[in-house]
Amino acid sequence: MTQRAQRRVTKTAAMTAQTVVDGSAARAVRPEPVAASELPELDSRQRVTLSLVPRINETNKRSMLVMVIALVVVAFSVIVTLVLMNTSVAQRQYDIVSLRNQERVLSQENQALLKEAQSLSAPQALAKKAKALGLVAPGAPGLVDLNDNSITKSADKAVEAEGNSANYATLPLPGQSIREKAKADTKKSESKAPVPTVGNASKDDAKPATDSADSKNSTKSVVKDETATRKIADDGRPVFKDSELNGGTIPAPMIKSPTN
Amino acid sequence: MSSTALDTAKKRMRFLLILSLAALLAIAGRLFWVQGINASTVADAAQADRQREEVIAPTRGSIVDRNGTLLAVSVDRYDLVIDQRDQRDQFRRAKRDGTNGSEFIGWDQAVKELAQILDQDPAELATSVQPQDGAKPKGYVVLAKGVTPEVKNEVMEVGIPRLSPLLRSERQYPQGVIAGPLLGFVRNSEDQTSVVGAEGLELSQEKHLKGTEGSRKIEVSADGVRIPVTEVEETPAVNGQDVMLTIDSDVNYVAQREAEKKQKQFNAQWVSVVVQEVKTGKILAIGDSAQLDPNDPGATDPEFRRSVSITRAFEPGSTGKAAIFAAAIDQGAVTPKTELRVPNKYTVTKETINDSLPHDTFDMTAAGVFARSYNTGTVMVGNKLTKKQRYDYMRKFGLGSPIYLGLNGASAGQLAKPENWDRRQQYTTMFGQGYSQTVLHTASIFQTLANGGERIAPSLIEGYKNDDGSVTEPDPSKTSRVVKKETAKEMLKIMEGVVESGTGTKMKIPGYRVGGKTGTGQAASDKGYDGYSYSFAGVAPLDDPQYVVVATMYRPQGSWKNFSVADTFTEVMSHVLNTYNVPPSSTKSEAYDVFVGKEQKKPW
Repeated sequence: MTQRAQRRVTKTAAMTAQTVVDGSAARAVRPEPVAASELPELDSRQRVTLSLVPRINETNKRSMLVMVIALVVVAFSVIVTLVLMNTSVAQRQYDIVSLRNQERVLSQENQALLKEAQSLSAPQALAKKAKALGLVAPGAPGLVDLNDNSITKSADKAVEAEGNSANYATLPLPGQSIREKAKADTKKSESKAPVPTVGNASKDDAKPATDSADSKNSTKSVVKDETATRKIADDGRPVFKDSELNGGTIPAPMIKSPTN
Repeated sequence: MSSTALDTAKKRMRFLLILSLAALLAIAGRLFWVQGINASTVADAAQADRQREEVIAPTRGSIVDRNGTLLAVSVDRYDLVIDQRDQRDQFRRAKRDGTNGSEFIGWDQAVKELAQILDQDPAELATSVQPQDGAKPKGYVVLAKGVTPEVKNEVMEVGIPRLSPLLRSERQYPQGVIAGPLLGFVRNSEDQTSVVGAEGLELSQEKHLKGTEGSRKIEVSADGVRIPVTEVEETPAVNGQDVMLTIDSDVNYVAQREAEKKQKQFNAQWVSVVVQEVKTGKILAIGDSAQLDPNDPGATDPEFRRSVSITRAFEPGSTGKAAIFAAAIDQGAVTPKTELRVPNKYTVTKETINDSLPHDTFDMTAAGVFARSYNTGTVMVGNKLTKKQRYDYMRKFGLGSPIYLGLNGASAGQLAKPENWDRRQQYTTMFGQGYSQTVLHTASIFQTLANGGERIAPSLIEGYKNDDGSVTEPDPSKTSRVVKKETAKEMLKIMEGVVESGTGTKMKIPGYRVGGKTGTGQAASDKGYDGYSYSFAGVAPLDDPQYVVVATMYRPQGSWKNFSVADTFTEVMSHVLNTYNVPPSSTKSEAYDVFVGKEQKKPW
């Protein structure tokens, strides 16, 4: 009992004697519970050094520094990686855009080339080229009977270019306007309108439109000639050909869709 | 400091404290509201603000022929548009000679370069590039329409500020006039960014060709530039299906060329040639004399922007006898060898039927009547059937109802009900007058006869090619039996007689057995019958019929004695037979005798 009372007193004394603060760190002031039998000497002058963390020696200090540097490096590399990834993603996006554009350009080029190839291989274009090369349509083919090795029909000779009935270059080529042709046709139909005086006009209209360039030029020149050499009658009015006047009638308006 | 002053200060401090706390609370509350309760709404609003939705236009499907030749294709084209406002006298651009650096050029130089690239008149171009005579500058002037990407790139190199290319899709027809009236043409859509079908297959196949629009959602920053790292939500566009036709563009070219040639030769109103496959009913070619370039449909007379072979019904004349003879043989009323005494004039129920040329009275076979195309004999044959029977056969052959190929404006022709036939019409319908049909109807009748009596509805569409290369088949063509197989066989024999010793001797093709029927029909107008139509419908080779070719010339002018479509038929048919490597006929002719007795060569 006395001991106990004494102990309490000592404790209070120890507590007050002990500094609660060590530098900036707060100390755990509560002493370890001590078994009664092992009670230290009360009057012991030497104090027990209490510490929360073990004392840092030199080697520990160095490893701490390494640790910090490593952490900084890791943090830095993470940031750098993120930035790099971000930029590369952005870069890829731009790449995609430029590749898309490239794809568009290439597909457009492809389109143009394909179209050109198709136009050049259009039947009427080939026919024109064949004609220019002097090729003519074949005659009827010969026939051989394989059963008895006899010629059942000999081949016909192809007709020479001049006399060949097949005039191949009649249809307008791809890309060539059929307006020129249409113009020529309307001129023709005008001249063939049911008018008593049609005979004189058919001469200059009856030019065959074999070569596109030729017909273009000829129609142009014909038109020019007409305007240039239009005569003025005595009464001051221009003189028109009968064909131009369409027999004095105005052609009826076209019905847009005469069918159904 | 007195105690009252201290109190006031304390009060103020307390007040400020409360005020600050209240403000803090408000801010915290707002924060809680924005971040906690209303977070998704705000995020959505921000998202919506950044997000732009682009429409990805699908590519319009192509139209190709049976060999894959492109007949219609959509290509990228640009409209060049300039904004005349806020332009300076000079502008800076990268040097065009490939060296680094930039240079200043003036408008004269720019217009000169531009004119050269666009192939336009510089003076004219200058008026659109810059406002003239102090006029108010315009914000939108179109300098050129539908230029190719190369031209556009060159123009952009000139470096004119505020000159921008507008991308649009343009329809092109690389083969020009080939199959023009079948393909039809397109018009610009309402928003001017794409094209929609206006006529022909382009119109009827719109839902296949069009495709489905896709969309792309991207996020843009405040300055309108796309934020690269954001997610892109993309629904790809589904391109239109390619329409594959049964047309062979080479054969179609020959058909068109021959039709045009024939039209020019006799100055006919129109000539049309139809080529059909016997075994499948597929149309191989439809050639019209009037050419339509779908790239420039306006250049063609409106009347001929659709194929006349399906839009123009006319009285077929003698080719119509084929249906009547087939009906009579099918019903067992006559056989090809049935003997008939055929006069030049034949009067029945007070109606006198004449033949076109006067001839002696002959003792002929029924096949001979067909070969020589005598109306009198035909009426004798046809009279063995009732009106109803003949009408039913004509209907079964497809007359009186339109043939739908996927082309608009198909004519049904006119075929009155037998109870409405007047006294003369009941006889004229036997030899192809008093009712009307199109060239395609004629082709279909002969296809039926050549195909063992089974009619396969003509078709123009082989299939639809999807974006992934798979092919969707169209609905199968309707097939129907019109006459018995034996009847069809007999009909081929009597058709051979036409070419062997009848009206169609000019239609022979060396090496092949050809059968067919000529036809001269009177063409009616408001003033009565004042013109003619000339046709030949032929089948070859007769030992195993493969192709039907029908050539029709409508209202030729000039001397009628020369009128003939023989060379048109032979040219097209022999080309088809050659193209498809049809082996020549190895069997002998099976034509029947024309006349009764030994003597077969009698005057016309």
